[in-house]
Amino acid sequence: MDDGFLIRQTLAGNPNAFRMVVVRYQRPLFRFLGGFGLGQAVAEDLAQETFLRAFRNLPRYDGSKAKFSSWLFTIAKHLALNEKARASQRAPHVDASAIEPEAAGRDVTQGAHEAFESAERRTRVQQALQRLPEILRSAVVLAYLKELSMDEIATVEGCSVGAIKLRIFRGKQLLRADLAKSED
Amino acid sequence: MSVSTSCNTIQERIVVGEALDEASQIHVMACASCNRLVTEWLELDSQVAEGLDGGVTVPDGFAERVMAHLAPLPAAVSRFENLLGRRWVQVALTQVGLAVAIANVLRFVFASLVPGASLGGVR
Repeated sequence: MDDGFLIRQTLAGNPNAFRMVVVRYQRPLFRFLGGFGLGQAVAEDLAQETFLRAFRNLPRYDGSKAKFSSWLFTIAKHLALNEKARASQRAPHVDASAIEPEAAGRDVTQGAHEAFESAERRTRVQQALQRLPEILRSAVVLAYLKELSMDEIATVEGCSVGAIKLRIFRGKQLLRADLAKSED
Repeated sequence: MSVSTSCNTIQERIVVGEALDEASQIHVMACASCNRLVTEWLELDSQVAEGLDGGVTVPDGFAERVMAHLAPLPAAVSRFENLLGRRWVQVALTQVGLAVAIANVLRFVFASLVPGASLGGVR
């Protein structure tokens, strides 16, 4: 079932149709919000708010202007950026490199050692992502999600396809250099 | 297309993460430079994909939680109601009403001053 059909059904008053929309997009949306370095609780709140706003504004959604997925990720992106701005005003800047990997590694068994290494890799990637300039981060995360086409990412970011390719290229270059440095 | 141009175009697409057509994939298999680049970027891609979400996961019952917060959307309105709701229609109707009211006042004043001119007036 395509998004257009589900949206028409939702507008006609079928609640199950919107449930399907939520189930379809919840995972990529959580991954997208995770890419902004938001914690579990904040990501849950923002994902829920994204779906609620999408639902409330569904009568005004114009499918001829943007695909539903682009529209949904645009809502999520604005919420995530607002949250990041609010968080930076609330607390002093925390150096990402000071964040410790998950505590799994304190246990010295073999399984725990692997878990520690995996957690460490994830933390390194998260830190590198958080060090990317804001303008590059969202484009890079969207590219890695592989949910949207270049055109759709450009719609979310509000720029041309050429500009979005350049942002992804620059972002990945910086990520690669950062990760290589942190492995040394 | 020269070999270097072809390499540049293909490598650009690899880095950005765009799908390669079959001819480009065959080129990558044969070209050492493109092959090395693909390997490097695939490594980065898998590393980033693993850590992208920062451990954030969808909690059980998330969809139900969202659904519990939804208020029903306003019922669909008819075309006529929709038309009456538009601002320009409301302005036009107000102006027509105002014009009719002014015409009635003028008619009344004119009839009072010149009774013979009014309809049904008796001299």
